[in-house]
Amino acid sequence: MFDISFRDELDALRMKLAGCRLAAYADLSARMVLRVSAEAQPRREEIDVLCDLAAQCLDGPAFPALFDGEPPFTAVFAGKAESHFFIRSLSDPSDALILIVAEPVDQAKIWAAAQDLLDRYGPGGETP
Amino acid sequence: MKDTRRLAERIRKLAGSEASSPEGRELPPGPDGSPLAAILREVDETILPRSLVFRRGEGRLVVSAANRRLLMVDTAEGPDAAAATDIVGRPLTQPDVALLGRLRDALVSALPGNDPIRVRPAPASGAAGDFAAGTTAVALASAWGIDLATATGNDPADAVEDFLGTAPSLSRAWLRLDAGMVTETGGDQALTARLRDFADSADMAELDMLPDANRSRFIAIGRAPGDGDCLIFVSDKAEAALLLIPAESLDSARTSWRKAVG
Repeated sequence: MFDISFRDELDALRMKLAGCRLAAYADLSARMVLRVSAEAQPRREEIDVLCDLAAQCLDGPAFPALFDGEPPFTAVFAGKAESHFFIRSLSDPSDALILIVAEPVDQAKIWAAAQDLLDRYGPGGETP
Repeated sequence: MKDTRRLAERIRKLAGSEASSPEGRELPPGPDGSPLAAILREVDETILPRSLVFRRGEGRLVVSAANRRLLMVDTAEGPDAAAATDIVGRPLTQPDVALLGRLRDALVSALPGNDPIRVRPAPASGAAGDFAAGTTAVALASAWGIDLATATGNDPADAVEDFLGTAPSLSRAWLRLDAGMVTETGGDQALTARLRDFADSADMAELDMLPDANRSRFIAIGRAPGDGDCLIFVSDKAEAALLLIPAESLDSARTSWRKAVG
């Protein structure tokens, strides 16, 4: 489904973000992580948990009532040592990136870099 | 609800004890200096398969843990670690009384002395798909007479209380929760009503019960970055809070939270 360039893009995103130890591309509708770039390859169970968390936070049925009918596009689990970022594609709501980044983080840089990658591989963009 | 509070307490402890030292996080020993409470608390807070590397002075102990269960002692090194030899590598599923005793002695002997205990978790390398493998930390604590609920050492102060000291100024609406009940509200009434509805939702219940995937209890959920409002959920041992803040204030809120948890 993905050619080598998307793997490279995911690796490049992780390397670009200081302290990023994991970047994963997920299909929220299928609740599946399709690609992972990580310093140390995580176990499948860990990836599955991350994907479930992403889906819970970005696709929870009660959230649109808080956001004028819109689903959430971002979720952050902030810890003292590292934080988890879940970022839904603005162009294809079923696509999301999961990033685990050591604190302190440059949140704006994370949002921008993640959305840039999602946009480029979304509808009308490159084929992932 | 009891389980929810217990999970919230675990998440609070995890966030409070986390540190970025290369030597690992420092753990408080038990009142008698024993490392057992520290080891079991760490196992009890481990959901995903992990190798937990404990160090104390010259002692080094590596255990495998997952699903809040101690699966195996992988390594025990140090001047007093000889007592652990027959425990290393043994599966700890349904241990008999004799094995429980030897396991206890092994853990204590591997981390002797009065130096600080440090732990560094690492992703486990072996397979751990069996959810019944090993023994729960709670069961071990019960067998060894350790009260995990009270043996918490240097618990941080009430982070939600501290956070709410500054966060309302950032928020458009907020409410404070104690055991799932709204105890205080503030800000825009219409938005507060939305938060009340959310507090009663299944999504809220799921947030309150999320595992410690990133050892955090500060969760922010929002629209596109910088767009509209952002929901923040925070919790600690005593209580929880929901806030709606402008997305551009998220960084400030995170900073306030980091200060609140020390």
